[in-house]
Amino acid sequence: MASIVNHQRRNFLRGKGSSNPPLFRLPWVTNEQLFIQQCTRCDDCINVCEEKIIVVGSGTYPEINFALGECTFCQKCVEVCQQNFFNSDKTQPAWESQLTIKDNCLAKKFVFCQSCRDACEYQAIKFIYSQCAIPEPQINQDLCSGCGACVSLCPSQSIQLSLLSGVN
Amino acid sequence: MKINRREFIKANAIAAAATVAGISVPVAASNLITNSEITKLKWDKAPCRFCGTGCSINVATMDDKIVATHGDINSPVNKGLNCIKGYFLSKIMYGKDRLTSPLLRMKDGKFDKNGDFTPISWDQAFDIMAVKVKATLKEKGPTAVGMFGSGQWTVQEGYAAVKLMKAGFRSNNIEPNARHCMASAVAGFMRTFGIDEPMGCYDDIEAADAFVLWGANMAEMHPILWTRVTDRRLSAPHVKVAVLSTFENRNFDLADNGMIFTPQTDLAILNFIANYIIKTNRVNKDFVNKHTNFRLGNTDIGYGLRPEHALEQKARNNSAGNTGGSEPMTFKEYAKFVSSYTAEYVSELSGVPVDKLNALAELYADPDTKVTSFWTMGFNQHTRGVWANNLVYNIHLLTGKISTPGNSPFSLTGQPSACGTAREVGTFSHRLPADMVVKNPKHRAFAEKIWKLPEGTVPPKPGYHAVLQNRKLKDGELNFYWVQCNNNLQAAANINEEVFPGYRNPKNFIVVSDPYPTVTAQAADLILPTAMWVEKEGVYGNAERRTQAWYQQVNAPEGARSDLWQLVEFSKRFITDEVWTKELLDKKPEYRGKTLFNVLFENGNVNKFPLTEIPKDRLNFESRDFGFYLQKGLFEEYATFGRGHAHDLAPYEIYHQGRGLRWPVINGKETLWRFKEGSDPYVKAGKGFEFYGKPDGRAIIFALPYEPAAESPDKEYDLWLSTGRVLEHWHSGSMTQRVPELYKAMPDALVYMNPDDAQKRNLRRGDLVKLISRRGEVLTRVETRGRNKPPIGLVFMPWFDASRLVNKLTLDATDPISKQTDYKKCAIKIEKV
Repeated sequence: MASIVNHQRRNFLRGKGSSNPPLFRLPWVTNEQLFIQQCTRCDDCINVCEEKIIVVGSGTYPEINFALGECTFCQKCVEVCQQNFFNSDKTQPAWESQLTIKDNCLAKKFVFCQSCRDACEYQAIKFIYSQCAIPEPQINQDLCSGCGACVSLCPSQSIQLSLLSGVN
Repeated sequence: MKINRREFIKANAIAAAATVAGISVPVAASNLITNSEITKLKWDKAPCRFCGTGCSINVATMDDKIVATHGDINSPVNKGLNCIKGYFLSKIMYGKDRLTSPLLRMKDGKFDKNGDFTPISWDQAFDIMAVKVKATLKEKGPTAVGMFGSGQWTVQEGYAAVKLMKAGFRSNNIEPNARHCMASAVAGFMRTFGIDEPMGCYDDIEAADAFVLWGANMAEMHPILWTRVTDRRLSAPHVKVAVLSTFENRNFDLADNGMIFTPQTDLAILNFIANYIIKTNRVNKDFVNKHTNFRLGNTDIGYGLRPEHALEQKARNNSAGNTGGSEPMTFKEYAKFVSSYTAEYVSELSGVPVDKLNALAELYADPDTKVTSFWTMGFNQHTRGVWANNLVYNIHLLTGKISTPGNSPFSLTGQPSACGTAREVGTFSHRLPADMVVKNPKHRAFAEKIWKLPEGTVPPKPGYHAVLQNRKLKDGELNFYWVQCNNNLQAAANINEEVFPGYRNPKNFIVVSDPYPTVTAQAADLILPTAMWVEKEGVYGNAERRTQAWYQQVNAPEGARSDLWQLVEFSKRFITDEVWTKELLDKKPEYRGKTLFNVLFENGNVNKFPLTEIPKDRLNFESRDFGFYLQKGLFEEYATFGRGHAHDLAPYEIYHQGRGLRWPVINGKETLWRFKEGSDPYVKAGKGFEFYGKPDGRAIIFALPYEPAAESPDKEYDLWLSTGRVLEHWHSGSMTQRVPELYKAMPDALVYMNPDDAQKRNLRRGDLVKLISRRGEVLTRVETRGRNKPPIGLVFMPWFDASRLVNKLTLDATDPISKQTDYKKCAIKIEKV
């Protein structure tokens, strides 16, 4: 039986405040509350992930760390999981996410860098020569799958993938 | 010591800030807490360590460490910009596996070719090297001693190496890795113009109406020059960009006319353009009549393979004297020669549509369009690379589009001093400084006079070129070999069959000087730990003839020494009587009993300038160790070769002040466009143009045909393999792969292939595959998207990855004239693993 964690109290005691950004759990998880209630922290998802991007996070719950690589949406973690907190329609996006480029992006500082460009299988990151000879990355959110492949490659750690809401 | 509360807080703040930045504050600074000087970074300048663009970089040091770099705003080359490699320059010297002690393969306390690398002292290292050199000279003579250097050597290092090898050991077996990089460009310049290096400069970019890229992936390999091309394209809407490549790359983002051609057919496209210019009656007759000659070049010249190879047995004109031969012809005969290269024929051969070919040719033909052509390895690493260079000059000469702002056939270079060191100093087996050659008795005499050496010191026969050095190592004919400032076991073609065997041949002793344990170092018998970049003072020369100098800015790690120090210090180990013949010493008996250091470097020239000429606050390990301003002495002696011979350099100090000058520098003024009256002081009044490298002042237009590649795909090996670089890494990656951010951005070399080719082989993106050629195999993963999009039938793999050596696959076929390897064309097959 999973113990119920009072996150508000935990965060207060850790001096973190209650407005932490929501975490990437597993793809197609519908509800953070439900996830925390049901997850047994068996680590099966961590062990099955071929990309090795699922790690033991806060409170020993699994979370995805895109600094380690990308999610290929192979669904192995979903299949191995005994719980039932996943969206059954896998044709839907695995999560509602947003990709942002921070201001420390090298291209924004006039350094000729396009390292994130090739990472994107869906070509959501484009470098368009319009005004400046050192083009900046431009993101098409509609094309972004939220796989996070671009995150770990960035030499200046300027790419942020964030969940749009508390639920995936 | 009294300290008030305010000062205490300040001191702690400084300490805290320094910790965060990973810097420890000097101990002496603790009692200077109110002095803001201690938190100040010291800024200086240096040319970038990487490509041949020659960007200037501001370098910040603190506590004897480089802590920051940024693009130099005062530099006319990069105007404050940096590419991603240049941005991370501050980290290249601080890899965890930096070498700090000479390492010798030893077993039971003694040298053993199969022993383990064991730290020894510099004295012990030079002891065994001297023993090996002397034994080799005694047994086989100077032709068994060789050196493989670099276009990354400083000018002074290359010059000292030439003196040590060609005069000291009397061996012409010295080559730079630049042989792999721009030898075809050199031979192209010499053949067409009789003098090396581009006539134009980067200022052409802002004046051109059209750019044509011939096998130059500038967007990745010369990104800062590419920003200048882009700026020109974006700010002047009439400007056109044409890109020719054997696969689609990032240049195509900006291309108005992007063309994918079948490998090797660039030769035919070039001849088509000449034909188009003639057929549309747009030859600049006045220019052609006054300033050019026509010649028909020898054909069927072989592929630079070993003589027993079937292709060499078959070739008619592959003997040494024949490959570059030619005979005079008329314009009419030339016009007839190129007339078979019609748009239809060339389109069928190359795969480029007729309308695209015509649009390309029109750029050159239109008298009102100023065209700048850029090329790099696509032309130069080509079994007909010299021809390709000659053919592009043809079209610029036919139209008179040369030596004026915007009209510029421009050969880009890949290394920071391929021009400055390899070419201008002449660290090649056949060359001497300032375009002189060892074959020419007058040139040898000129060198011997400057060097104050007896007549006959420099041997007349050219030594082994780079590829031949590897073959001779394998064959056991080259037995002492010193590799400096390059990673040839990763860079040379056909590693399995023609490179590695020579390094491990028990007859040979191999020394490798490098800051890091590269693939090459690990195959050596002795590794020497080397100081790099701003850990020493030096001079580099970039692709536009710009000479730039820098001061030493930090100390090298304890135990590491620059290539320059190594070369000069090693010369002390030899007495002239040990290495020179009696006849030679009889001509200068006063040199008997002297060391090579005495006669080469304490000759009154190199040791002319005292230490007091070095600014007091400047480091200079080498000079302070030898007791004179070594870098200045070497530079000034070297500069006497070119002054008055169209290679004039300014006094040494001038280069420390500014951001470089383009030679020839006459009366303090640099030269932007050579061969043009008014901008080049060497052109005589009234001439208009003068190609003074040739005795009659005329450049040569060569009739040369299309000939096939050495190896093309067939039924079994059904894909073309092209190799090259990527933006994030420089050459073999020995520096950039050690920068965590660059490694992360591009960790592994992938094979880029067409999605249809992948599907045909049942492959998906990311699959592990085996690339197989007739010479070797390599494992990597498939990439079907991303920066390079090859056409069906061709794959591309970069060579920066030491864990996946693509040069196990490549063929060591060379251009028979330039001896440069073709890394862009061989046949392979791909299998799923």
